[in-house]
Amino acid sequence: MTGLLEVENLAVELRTGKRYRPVLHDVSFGLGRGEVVALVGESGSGKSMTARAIMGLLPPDGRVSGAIRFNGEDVRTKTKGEMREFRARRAGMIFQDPRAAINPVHRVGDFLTEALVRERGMDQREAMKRAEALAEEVGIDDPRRRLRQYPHQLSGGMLQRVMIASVLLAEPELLLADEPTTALDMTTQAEVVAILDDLRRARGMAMVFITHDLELAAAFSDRIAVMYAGYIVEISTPAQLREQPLHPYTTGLLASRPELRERTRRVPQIPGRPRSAAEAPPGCPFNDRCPYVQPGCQQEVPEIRVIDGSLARCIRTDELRADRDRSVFSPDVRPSVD
Amino acid sequence: MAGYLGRQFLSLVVLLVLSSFLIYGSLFLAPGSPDAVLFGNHTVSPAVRAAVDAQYHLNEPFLVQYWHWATSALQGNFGTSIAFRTSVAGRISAVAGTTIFLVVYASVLITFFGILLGVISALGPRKLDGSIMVATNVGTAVPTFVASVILIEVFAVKLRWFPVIGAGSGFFGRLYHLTLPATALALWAVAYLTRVTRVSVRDELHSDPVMTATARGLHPKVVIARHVIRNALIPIVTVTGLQIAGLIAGTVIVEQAFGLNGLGQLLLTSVEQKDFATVQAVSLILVSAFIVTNTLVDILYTMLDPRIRPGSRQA
Amino acid sequence: MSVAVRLLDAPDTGRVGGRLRERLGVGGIVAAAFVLLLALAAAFASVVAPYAPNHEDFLNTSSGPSAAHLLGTDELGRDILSRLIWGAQPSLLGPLIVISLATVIALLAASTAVWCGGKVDLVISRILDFFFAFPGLLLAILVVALYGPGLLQCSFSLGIAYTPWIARVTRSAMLKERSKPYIAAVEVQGLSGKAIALRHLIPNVSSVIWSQATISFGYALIDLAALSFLGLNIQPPRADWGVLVNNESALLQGHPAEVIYPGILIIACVSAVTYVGNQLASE
Repeated sequence: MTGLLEVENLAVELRTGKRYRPVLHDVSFGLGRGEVVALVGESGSGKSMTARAIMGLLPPDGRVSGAIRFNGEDVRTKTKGEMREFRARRAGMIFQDPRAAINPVHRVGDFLTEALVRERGMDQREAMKRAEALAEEVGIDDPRRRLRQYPHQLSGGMLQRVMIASVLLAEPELLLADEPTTALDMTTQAEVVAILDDLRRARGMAMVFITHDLELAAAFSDRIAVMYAGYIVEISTPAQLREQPLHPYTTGLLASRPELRERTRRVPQIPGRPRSAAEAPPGCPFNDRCPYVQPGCQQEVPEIRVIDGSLARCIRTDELRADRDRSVFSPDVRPSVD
Repeated sequence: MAGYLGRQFLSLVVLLVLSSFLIYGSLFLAPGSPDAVLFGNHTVSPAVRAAVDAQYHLNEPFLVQYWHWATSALQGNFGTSIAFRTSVAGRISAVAGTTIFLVVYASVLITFFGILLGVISALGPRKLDGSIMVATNVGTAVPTFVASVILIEVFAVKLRWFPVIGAGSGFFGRLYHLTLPATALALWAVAYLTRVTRVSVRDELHSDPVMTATARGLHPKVVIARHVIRNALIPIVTVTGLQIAGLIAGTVIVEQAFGLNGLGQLLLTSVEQKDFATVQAVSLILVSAFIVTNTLVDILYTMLDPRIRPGSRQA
Repeated sequence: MSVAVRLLDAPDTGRVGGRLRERLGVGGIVAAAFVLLLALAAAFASVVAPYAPNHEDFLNTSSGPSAAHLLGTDELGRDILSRLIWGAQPSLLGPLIVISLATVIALLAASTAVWCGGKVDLVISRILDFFFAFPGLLLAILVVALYGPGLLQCSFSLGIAYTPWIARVTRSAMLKERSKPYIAAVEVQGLSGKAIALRHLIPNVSSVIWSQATISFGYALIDLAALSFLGLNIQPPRADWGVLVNNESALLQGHPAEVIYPGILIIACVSAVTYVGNQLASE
């Protein structure tokens, strides 16, 4: 791997009151130049926390261990000045809700150019010219007029394009897109992601794409990391994941997608509700919902290991593979959990 | 934009008319005839009585009387003080300077110290924050007149740094003489504004736009100025304006405590001497100042927040 | 309460007692107890106070603390402690009149506005806006100019002036409550507007009302004492705490204690009341 980004054994605990509660356990993955890794999982699985940890945006009283290497240098040991440089030029983050993330009191144009003008000392007019050009590229019509407006005058889809443009303007090597389309209408979601991916590809930027939508992840990424309760439980290519899921949780996720073409009486579900890292049971975090659970699963957290070129964190993967043809999550053959 | 200002102006006029109506009409709510109220306990010759009747148009219908009173008030003519046989406007202009100086002085103190202490409290070291919070906790419970008395006792009687009485003359004389009164007037509002500022800045510190700005690698100074302070300014400006408007009534207390000859003192002595024409005039001026300040605050607030600024609807 | 209402998860209004203690916390209970103690001392001043308020001890004028006069005497030989205790009567009674009046009018105005909505709401809100244009102190001064000084005049005018503050907060709390589904449910069941306001709207915003009323009590105490200080409220030789502070000669003659004690009492009482009010508002 030509590691642009290497995350190694990242663990994070955040403070609530006097207690520390875990949010990430042993998160490791790598990303080459121009590659896309998708982090997929339900809310509370730790996807966003991973992105924040990479950007150094965790609350200051959190406890972090492990390494986050960017171009071989550990991001976590950077000084404040180096960290600013890293955020300003190397890595950019696209937030989930542009309506909240973009300051409502400044004009859209000021938001786009503020980093160029204030951190790089670029001339305001030059910065504005660049911003307008890029705004056009991300699909904002009449950018000259739009850039003079305030955020509340733009639709959610337009605002997310502004957000994307603001990150692209800095020309970082790495994009972190934290559910960039979740707050948008269904119809604009695909369009916005497509624009994001096109522009990223043209500029050779790598991306960590965070989503809870497995389909979306499969369409735009080179590899998918499935997260559950603060752990990465499986890393695979989209094709492999679809054909040959290795972790029971992934299998469940795949099975629980409603099909548009087929009419089913009931969409198969993973029994129980998702667990956050703080609520996970001892042992394998999925053991209380897993149809393959056996006493060994409750003893200790399984190591993540290589299976058929993919990575999975399950001690029963081999048996699962043998069983693959028969979906354990279909409503007819659902095994009892307890 | 013009439409918005027009509406603001219209509602300002309506409020002014209504309150002047109430102030004038109160004359007729009092026990006894308007004559009795206007003359109070002063014995007057029939000639004076006739003059007052003519001035107040007491023989005409109420609305006509109000109209005469209000239009001459607009021209700066508030009639004649029965008790002093001088023009009310003259008495007002003789003392208004002190009150205006006092209010402006206190406003400057409030704005400067309130916002400064609030920002320091929110962004500065924890220890400083703690002591500022204790001070403002006490400060918001101290009534203006108690603050006045304490300031007089400590700085005028004991330490003799400031004069006990008098408004001084010339700019620096006034500045010196009015420092204690202005401080007393500003104290409560400074404490209150400090708390509001602290909370607003703290809230913005953890806001999403600040996270975005940090993620873009902006210098903390830029983040604080453009994304914390700028956004916190919206509630801060509103509260500052309301506090300043509130000072207008507070001057009555401070002028009494420090024996200053200002509008508030004039109002009080006129109440005591049953000089109702002066009471009406001063009340009208103070209430109008209050209403105008409040309207200005409204406009300023709207200017600061583009989301409610007129002419910026979603396009 | 009918089953339908329960199903729609009507907020619980029954367990106020237990939650009150929780809300107030230790500090709130101490503060409330302090104010209650003052109120009791005021109510039983004739028993508690060592002297009558205007009893003059000619042999002990302007004396410091002693066994006979715990806080000393003023320039006429009146016992300062006794005057403070007697002064608590008008000092606490006045604010009580103010907030009772303001709260009742505010409740009527707010519930009518919220229940009728539309034009009625608009008219009531405009009237409230208008009264915002009158600072309480000025309104009181105007009333005193007409009717002469006194506690009733001052309390009534402040009561009017405080109404819009309480009404505005109450109105917005009620509007929020009004939009909840359980209100629609009881409406469908045919409960009258008045009954809904009395049985559901007002009880469910009661914590907001109590908190507003309590905080306003503190402000009213300050304003009424200020009016006394200005000579418009309680008239000497009767005294509330505001009259006691208005004693410049004591300052100039070097007896600041006479002025400082009532000042501290006002500050302590207002702090305590405001703290309780804020605790009541906290969730």
